[in-house]
Amino acid sequence: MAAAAAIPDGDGHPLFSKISISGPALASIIERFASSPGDIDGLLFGHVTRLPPPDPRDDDGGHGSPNSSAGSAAAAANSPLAATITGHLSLASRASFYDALGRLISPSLRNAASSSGHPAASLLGWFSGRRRSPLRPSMRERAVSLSLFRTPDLLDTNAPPDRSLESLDLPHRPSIFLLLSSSTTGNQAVHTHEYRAFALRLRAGGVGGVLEPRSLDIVNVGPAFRAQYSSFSPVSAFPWMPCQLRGLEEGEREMGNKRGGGESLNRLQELAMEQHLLDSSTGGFGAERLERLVGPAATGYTSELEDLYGKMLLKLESLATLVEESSARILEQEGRISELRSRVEGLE
Amino acid sequence: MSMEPPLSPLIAAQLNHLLAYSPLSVKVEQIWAGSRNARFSDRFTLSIPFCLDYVKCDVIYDALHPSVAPDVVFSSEYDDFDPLGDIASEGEARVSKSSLCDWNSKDPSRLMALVHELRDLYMHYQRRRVGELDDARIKFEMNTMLPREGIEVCLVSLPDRLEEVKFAVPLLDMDLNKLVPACTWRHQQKIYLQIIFPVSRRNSSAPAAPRVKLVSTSEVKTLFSVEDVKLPPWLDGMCLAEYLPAIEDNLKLQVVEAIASIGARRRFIEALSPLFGRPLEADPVLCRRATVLCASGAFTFLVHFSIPTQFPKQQPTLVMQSSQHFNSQGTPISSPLINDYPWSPRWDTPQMAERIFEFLVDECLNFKKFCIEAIPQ
Repeated sequence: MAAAAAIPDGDGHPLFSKISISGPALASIIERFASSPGDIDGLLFGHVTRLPPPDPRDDDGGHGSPNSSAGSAAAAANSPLAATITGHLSLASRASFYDALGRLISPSLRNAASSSGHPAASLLGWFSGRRRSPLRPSMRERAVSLSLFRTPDLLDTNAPPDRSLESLDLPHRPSIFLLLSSSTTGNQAVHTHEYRAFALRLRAGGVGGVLEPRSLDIVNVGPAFRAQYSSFSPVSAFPWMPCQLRGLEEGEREMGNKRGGGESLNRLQELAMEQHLLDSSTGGFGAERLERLVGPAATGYTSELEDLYGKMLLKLESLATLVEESSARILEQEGRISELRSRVEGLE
Repeated sequence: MSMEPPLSPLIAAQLNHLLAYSPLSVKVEQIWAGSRNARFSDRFTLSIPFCLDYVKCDVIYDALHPSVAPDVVFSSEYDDFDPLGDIASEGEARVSKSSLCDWNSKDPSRLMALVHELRDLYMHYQRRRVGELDDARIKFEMNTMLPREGIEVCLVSLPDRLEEVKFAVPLLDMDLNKLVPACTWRHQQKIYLQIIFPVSRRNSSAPAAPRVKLVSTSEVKTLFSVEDVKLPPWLDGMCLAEYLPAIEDNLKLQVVEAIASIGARRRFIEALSPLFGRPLEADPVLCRRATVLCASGAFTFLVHFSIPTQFPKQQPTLVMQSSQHFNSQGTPISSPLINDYPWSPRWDTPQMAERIFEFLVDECLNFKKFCIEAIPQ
C-alpha cells in the first residue's frame, strides 16, 4: 500500500503516504472549533519527512535493477513521504482567503500565512470545521484544496526560511485537508467531535482533483512515540551561555591567548550582548548579589530573598493588570464588531 | 431532538423563492441550525428531481455571515462530481457567468439560479460518465437519443460491480397542463418512458433486453393511469429510436381518450342533480369524485361517487355513509365499496344516473339495517 502511494501523481509531485498530527495540535484545533460561535477554517503547518524506502522487489522493472546505484537513487527519490502537522492558524473570519467559487485570494492568504509565525514553506494544507454537517468535502472545499495545490509559489515571501527547519523540509505542495464536524445533543450533555483527513490527488487527465480520505496518526506522549520525541530538536530564544564562573576578564584573557585580537573584540561584544539579555531576565538580581547568599555574607539572606520575591510579585501584578485591561478592550471590540456585522448583514 | 430555530430571513427568502418559482418540484427534507444556541437555522437538505429520481444535497449557509454564498455537500454516491472544477475547466468566461460569482445575498432568486446551475452540471457529469462506458449498444443509443429535447441519462451502480444506464425520455410533445380545462397543476406535467439498459460486461454474449416502464407524477395519475398502458415488447436487436414511435402513437390515443373522459364524467355528475339534488361536493377539474345527500324516509345518508379514469367503460364506485349512525369512535358508519350494480357503458348519461338511483332506493334499506346492527349497544 505504501509503495503504491509513493507513485507520483500526474503532476510529478509525490503524495504523502502517511499523515500525522501532534496531539496538542489536533486538540487545539478542536478546542478552537468548539469555542467559536460558528464554522471556522484556517491553515495547517508542519513538516515533511522521507520514510525509509520500501523493500526493493526483484521484478521492479520500472526503476531498473535495484542493485545499481541509479536504481537505488531513484528508489530513494520515490520513497514515501510523511507529513506531520504541528501547528495551525485559525482565521478570524470564515472564507477570508477564497471566494465562493473556491478560487484563492492570494494577498489575504499571504498576509494570514506571514502573520502566523510559521515559515511559509511549512504550509501543508488547510482545515475547515462546520457544525452538524456531513464529514464529506463540499464542492467548495474541494475547489479550494485544488487551488491551494495548484499555486506553488504562493507563499514566497521575502523573509528567509527558518534555517532550523530547512533541513527537515522537503519540497512539497499543500495537499492536506482536515475536515471537522461537531454536534451536541439537545440538552448539551453529549458533545461529539469528528474529524477526517483527506489528501488531494490529481486526476489522471490533469483536470480537477479528488480528495481521498486518509488515516490520521496522532502523535502522543508514550513509549510508542519515543522515536518521534528523540528526533525533536528544541529551538529557544534563550542565548547560549558559556560557563563564566571565573569572571569576565579571566575568560576574556584566555580567549585572547587562543585567537586573534579582532576576533576577541567581536567575541567581547557578543558576550556583552548575551550578558545584557541575561541581566534583563534576572531583573537586577545579578551574580554578585547571589554570591552574598552563600558563605559568610549569608547574614543578609532573609532580607535579600524577601527583596527578590517582592520584585517578582510586583512584576506579576503589573502583568496581570495588563492582561486584564487588554482582555476587557478585546471584549469591547468584539461586541462592537458583531453589532456592526449584524447591521451590515441586514439582520437588525 | 430539540426544535430548530427559523431560517435566517435572507436565507428563507431565497429558499421560498426556489420552492415557489422553480419549474422543478424541489423538496426540502430537513432544516437545521449549525451554530450553537443559534437564533437562526442556516442549513437544509434539498431533493432535486433528476432522471426520474432525486439527487440529495446539503446546502450549508452560515447564519453568522448570511451574505456569504452557500456551500453544497453532495451525498457520497456522487463523490467524483466536482461542479466547481467543471466550471473552472471551461475557462474564465464560464466562471464569470456562474451564479456563485458576485453572490448577492439580498437577491432572493440566487439560490434558485444556483440549484439550476448545479443540476445542469450534474446532468453533464452523468452524460460524461455514461459516455465513457465501453458498451457499443449504449454508445449507439446515446448518439441517437441525446439530440432529443429533455432527455436525461444517468449511470446507476448496483452491488456486485454491476452497472445500469437509465434513460428518462419525455414522451408526447403535447402540453398536458393546457389540455386539461381549468387545470390547477403547478408544475409542467409529462409522461416519461424509463428505460434501463444493463451495461454489458466484456466478453459477455448478446446484451440483455432493457427494462421499460412508463412513469408519471401522481398528478398525471389522477387523469390517466400509466400503469394500465400495455407496452409493446422489446424485440431483439431493437433500438430506442425504433421503439419510441410505436409507443408514442399508442399513448397519444389513450391520453386523448382520457381527456375526453373528463367531459363524460362532468356530464355524469351533472346528470345526478335532477335525481339526487345538487352535489354537496364535486371535483371541478378532473371530475373524479362527487358526493350527494339522500334521504329515505327519516334516514339520511351521503353517497360518495368515485369515478374511474376509464369512465364510462368502468362504472363509478359508490360508498354510502350514514348521517345518523356512528361507531364507538364517533365516526359515521360507511358501507363497503359498491361496484357490482347493473351497468352498461352504452347507456346514455341520464339513464346511468337513473339506474344508480333505482339501485340505491333498494340498497339503502339494506344499509340502514347494516347501520343499526353496527351501532354499539
